[in-house]
Amino acid sequence: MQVIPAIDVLDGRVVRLQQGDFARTTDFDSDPFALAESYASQGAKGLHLVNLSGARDEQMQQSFLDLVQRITRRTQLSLQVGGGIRSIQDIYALLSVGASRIVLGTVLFTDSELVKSALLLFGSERFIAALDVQSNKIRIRGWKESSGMSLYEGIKQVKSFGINSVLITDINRDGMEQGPNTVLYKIIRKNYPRLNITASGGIRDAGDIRTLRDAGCTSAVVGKSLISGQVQFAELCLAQSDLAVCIIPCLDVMGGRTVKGTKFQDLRDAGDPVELARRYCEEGADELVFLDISATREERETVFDLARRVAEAVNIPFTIGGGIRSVEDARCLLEAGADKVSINSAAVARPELLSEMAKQLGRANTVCAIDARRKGDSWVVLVKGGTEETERDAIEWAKEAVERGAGELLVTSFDRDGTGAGFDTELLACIKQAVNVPIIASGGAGSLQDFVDAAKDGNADAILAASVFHFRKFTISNVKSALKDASFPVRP
Amino acid sequence: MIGILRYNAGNTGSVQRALVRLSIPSKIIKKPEELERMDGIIFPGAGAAGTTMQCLLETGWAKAIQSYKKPFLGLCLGMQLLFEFSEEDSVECLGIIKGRVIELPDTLTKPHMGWNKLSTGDYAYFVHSYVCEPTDPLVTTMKTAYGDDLCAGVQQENFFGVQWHPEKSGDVGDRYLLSFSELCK
Repeated sequence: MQVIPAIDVLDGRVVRLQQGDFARTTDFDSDPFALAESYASQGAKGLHLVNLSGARDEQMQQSFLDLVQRITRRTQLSLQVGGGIRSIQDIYALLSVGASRIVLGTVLFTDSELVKSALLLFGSERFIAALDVQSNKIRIRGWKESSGMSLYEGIKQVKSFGINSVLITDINRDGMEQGPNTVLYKIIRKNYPRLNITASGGIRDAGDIRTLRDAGCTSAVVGKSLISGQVQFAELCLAQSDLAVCIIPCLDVMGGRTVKGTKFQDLRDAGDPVELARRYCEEGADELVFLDISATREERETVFDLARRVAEAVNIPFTIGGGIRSVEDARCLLEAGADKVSINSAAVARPELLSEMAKQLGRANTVCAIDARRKGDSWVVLVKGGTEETERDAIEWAKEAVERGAGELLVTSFDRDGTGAGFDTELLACIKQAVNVPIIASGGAGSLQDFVDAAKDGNADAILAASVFHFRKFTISNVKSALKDASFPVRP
Repeated sequence: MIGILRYNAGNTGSVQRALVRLSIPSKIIKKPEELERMDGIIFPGAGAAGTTMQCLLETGWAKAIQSYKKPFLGLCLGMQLLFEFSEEDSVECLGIIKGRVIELPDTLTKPHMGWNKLSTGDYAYFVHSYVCEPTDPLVTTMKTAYGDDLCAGVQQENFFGVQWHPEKSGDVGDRYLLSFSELCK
């Protein structure tokens, strides 16, 4: 689904009409071109441009054509344009200045000869039928008159022209901040499974975008709530994603066996890592992290063999960390079948290692693990399994690590690790705000609610836990159900 | 026998292990001359578009791929390089499929990493910061939603590509690789 910002233009100004009434106009005191540019810089691909002057005067003004040309020449935006289109010359002029698609409204019901000629000349893909509905009746001429047709008669007529895209506005919802008429879209989708449906009217926030997606809309036009700053374009875009919150069991390994202790001490044996990996994979783990805490060189050599065996045993991605000191170590692990390699103390000691790994092996394969401990109002970075405190500020280090090339951060709160007291969501949120890469939350999982909090308050993209899974406090599917109930996408 | 194309530093480990797991016979091939004996090719992309393209051109792989007639599967960067141009390093690619590869907007968390839903309803594992925009929408075999609907798979004649990693995508990944291997018989 695509979110399309809408700009209504009246006499060269950005405005909104309440309920289509020219007497109830809000002037947003901004220039349409500047606003279009700003939407483009926020990541918009399309723009819905409405010529209210044209609708009012029932004719196309040169100033509007100039605006369309300026936007299409100077931005990458794909423009759909409507308002006051009454002739084949209007359509030709708009397409000539760079409009991608033409939104037809009134003429659909007043001038079928024009519509037929237009489709013949320019093709059906160029047109969107705007149907403005009030109590199941289609209204025309800026909502002032009834077309005499019901919504379904209208859709039938549109389809008879060969137009397959409709923009449906519920007049009663438009500009009223009550949310879109999702029920209406659902019914239309059910009756017309192949129609491209664009929702418009009353869309407030990311939640509305989600429900429209679920209702089967192909795109959504958002005007007022974006212009008024009530919601940001990026927020709306994020709502139209199915990217799941990843659940990652972490297996600490030493000399080829799994271990996990509290606060990195008092280790207890929790089995064979390959067997455990296979079991977690079957239980729905999205990824696995193996942390090698081997002390000796001989023990550490076993990790390459472990990577190979795991890659042949499971069909999900896994990361290996611990004791990696060089690009060559990392390369060997990737060759053996690991997807990502995580470095921690070695990166703090020599940050260039991150840059070298990112350059030679790719950012996406380079994970930087950060162990942090709260100190006053901030957090400091710990190294060597949490035994040594450094001078580095955790947030600053996270920024540097990403600048140097880390494609993901594994953030462990040392205060919480092994306590079961919940993730340090404040730390996670601060880091997430400072960088633009995915964050794995780690340290402190004790209850199902802790996972929900890490996603909700910590904005974590992935959540890692060990003991709660190893000692069967709950299962991965318990965690996923809890996240799903809190309306986070999870992989079933 | 499926050949896993290995150019310079590309990481072929994951794909090779997955084919072993699925009992699909495969062999790492390092030279275009070895293509002849293979029934199909998997091209696991890794690294950046610029250096990879340069490497493919220098080693003669580019020409060999362009004239290849048996089933060819490009993964991730391997799919992107089938297109005409990539914004990553602003490089001309193999030009087999018409269209461009563009960068995901900065407003999204990048890379797009993790499990996302395909238009088939299955969840697949993605890791990428650039995305294909085919000129002909009909070559797109599947999409995924991340900020916008992204092209997640393509097919044109004997060329197949997926933006996600079938070697790491659970059951749907296994099914994709097994189905592709069926074509290579």
